[in-house]
Amino acid sequence: MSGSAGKVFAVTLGILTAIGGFVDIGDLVTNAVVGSRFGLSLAWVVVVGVGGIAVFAHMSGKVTAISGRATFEVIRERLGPRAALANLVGSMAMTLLTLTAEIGGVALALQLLSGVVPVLVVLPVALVLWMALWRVTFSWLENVAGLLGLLLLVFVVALLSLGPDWSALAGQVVQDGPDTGESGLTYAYYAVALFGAAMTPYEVFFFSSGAAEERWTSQDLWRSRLNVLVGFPLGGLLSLAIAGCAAVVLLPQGISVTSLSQVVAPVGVALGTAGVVVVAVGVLAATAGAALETALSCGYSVAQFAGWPWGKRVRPARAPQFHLVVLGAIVIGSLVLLTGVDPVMVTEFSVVFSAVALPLTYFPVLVVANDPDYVGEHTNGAVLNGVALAYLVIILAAALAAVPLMVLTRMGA
Amino acid sequence: MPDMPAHPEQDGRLIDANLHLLDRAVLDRDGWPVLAVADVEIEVPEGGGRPVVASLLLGSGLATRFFGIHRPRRSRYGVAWSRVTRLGSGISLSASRDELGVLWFERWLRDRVVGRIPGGRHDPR
Amino acid sequence: MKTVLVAVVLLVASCAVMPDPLELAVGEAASAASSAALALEQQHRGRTTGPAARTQVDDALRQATGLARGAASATVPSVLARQQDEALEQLAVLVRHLHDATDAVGTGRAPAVAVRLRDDADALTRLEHRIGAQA
Repeated sequence: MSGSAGKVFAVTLGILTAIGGFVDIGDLVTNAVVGSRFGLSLAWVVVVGVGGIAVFAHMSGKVTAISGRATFEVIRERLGPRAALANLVGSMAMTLLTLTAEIGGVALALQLLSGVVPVLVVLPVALVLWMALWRVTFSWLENVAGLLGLLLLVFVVALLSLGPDWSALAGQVVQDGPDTGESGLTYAYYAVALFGAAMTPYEVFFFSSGAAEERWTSQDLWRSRLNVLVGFPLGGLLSLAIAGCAAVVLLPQGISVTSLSQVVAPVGVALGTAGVVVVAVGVLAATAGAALETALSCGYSVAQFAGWPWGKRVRPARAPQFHLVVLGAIVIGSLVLLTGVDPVMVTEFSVVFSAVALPLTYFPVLVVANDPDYVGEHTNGAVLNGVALAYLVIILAAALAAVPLMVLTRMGA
Repeated sequence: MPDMPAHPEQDGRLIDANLHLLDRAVLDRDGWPVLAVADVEIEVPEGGGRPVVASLLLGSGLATRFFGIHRPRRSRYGVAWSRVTRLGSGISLSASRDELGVLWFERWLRDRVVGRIPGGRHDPR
Repeated sequence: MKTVLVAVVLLVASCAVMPDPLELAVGEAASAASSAALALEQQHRGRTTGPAARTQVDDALRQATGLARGAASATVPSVLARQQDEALEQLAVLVRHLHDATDAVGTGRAPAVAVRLRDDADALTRLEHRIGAQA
C-alpha cells in the first residue's frame, strides 16, 4: 500500500517538476515578446515546439533507458570522432549561451525582488549555483527548482482573472500571419525563435543523462512517457499563458517587451503586489533550475564524448573532469555577464541559436532510436517515425532559416 | 556467397570493427566509463594464420582532435583484448578503471584540485 | 569569405524589406514611455512592488537613452531630415521625463509623471506613423 502510494507520489513529482522545469528564461522572454507584439497569432509554434521536444525527449529517453548509453556517447559512436567533435563544440557553445542567459535571468529576478543591479549579484549567484552542484543531491535540486517553478502557474491565474475577450484571443490564434504593423519576415523570425525556445537541446541532454544516472531500464519507459506526454504539454500551456498575459495587457498599450520587468508586469495588473512577488520567485526558481541543468549539461556532453566518469550522484572526486567542466562553464557564463551585456539580449541569441544547433543532436538520436543494436525490440514504430521525420524537416528548415532571418530583421527589430 | 570465417570470439557474432568497436564507450567492471575506443590493434600471428585483434587503444579524442596533439604510440592506453568481457552498446572490461592506470590527468585533478576543495570527497547530500 | 558575402547581401536586403531605422527607434521609444507609465500607475495603485516598478522604469530609461543615441547618429534619407530633428527633440523630452520618473517612483508625483509619459508615447506614435508614411 505504502509502496504504491510512494509510486504515485514519485510519478506526480516527476510530472510536476517536468511542468515547472519546462519554462526557462528563453520561454519567459520569447513568449512575452511574441505575445506583446503578435498577440496569440504564433501560438501554433508553441504547439509544434512542444510536440517536437516531446518526440525528441521520448526517443532519447528510450535510447538511454534501454542501452544505458547517454546522448553524446551515442553521437560519438555514430558520427565518429571528427564529426562528433564538431557537433560537441556546436552544442556546447549553444548550451553555454543558454547557461549565460539563465544566470542573467536569476540576476534579473533578484533585481525584481530586491532592486539590486544585476551585475552586482552575478558572482554571488554563480557561487551559490556551483555550491549547489558541488554538494546537493540531484533529486533535491530537481524537486525544489521544479516545484518552486510551478509558481509560474500564476501566469495562468493572471490570464483568467484578467477576464480577456476570449473570442478575440481565439481569433488571434487562428489568424495566419502577423497583424498590421509587423512585417512577415519579423513574424517568421519570431516563429523560429519561439520554436528554438520550446526545443532547447540542453533539455534533452539533461533528460537522458538524468535517466542514465538513475539507471532507468525498459521498465521505466512509462515514466519517461508520462513526463513527456503530460509534463511537457502542460509546460507548453504555461508558455501560452505568458504570451496571453502579454497579449491582453501590453499589446493594447503598444508596449513591446524588451525586459524581464515587462514580462511580469501583466501579473501585477491582474493580481497586484502578491502576484508580482509570486511570479518573481517563480522566475527565480525557473531560471536557477535551468542554470543548474545547463551547467550540468555542459559537463555531461563533454564527459560523455570523452568517456570520462560523470554524474551528479557520486562524490566530485569520482568525476573530477566532469566537475571541472561544470565549474568552467559557470565561470565563463558569469564572466560574459560581468561585461554588462543585457541578459535579455543573450536570451534572444540563445533561443535562435538553439534552433540552429538542434539538428546536430536530433538527427543522430533519431537514427539510433531505429537501431536494434541499441534499443532492441523498442525501435520506433511507423507512426513515431512518420512524426519524427516530419519534425526532422521542420527542424532543418528552422535551422537553415534562423540566421538569415536574424540578419534580415535585425534581430526582430 | 563466400564462406564466412567462424567467429569464435565472445558470443559468436559477426563484428564489424568500424561499427561495433571504434568510438564505442568503454566501461570498466563496475560500469564506470573508461574513455572510448580510439583505435584497434591487429596482430598477425607469427606462424601465419588469420589476424586477430590484440588490443583496443583508448582515448578521449579531445586532445588529438581538438588540439592536434599526436600521442606517441607507446603512450596510448592499450587494453588487451582478453580483458573484454562483453560487446554491447558499450564495451565492458574485466578490470576496474583504477587498475587500468589510465588518465594521469584525472588522477592529478582528483588528488590536487577536486579532492582538496571542501566537500569534494563526500557524497552529495 | 562566402559567409561574409552572404551577410552583406542579407544586410542590404534587410534595408529594402524592413522599415526605416528611425521609424523603428521612434516606435520603440513609444513602447518604453508606455511601459514606464504603466509601472508608475501600477505602483501608485499599490498593484506592484517598489523594486519591480523601479526596475521597469530604469529599464525604460536605459532603452530610451540608447534609442536617443542611436537616432542622433543614424543617417536618414534627406526626405526624413525634418522628422529626424523632430524625433531627436521628442526623444530628449522623453529621456528627461524618464529621469523624472525614476525620482517619482513611490512618491505622490507618480501619477502626474505617468500622464506626461502617456502623452510622450502618443506623440511618438504619431511621429512614427508620419515617418512610415513619408519613407
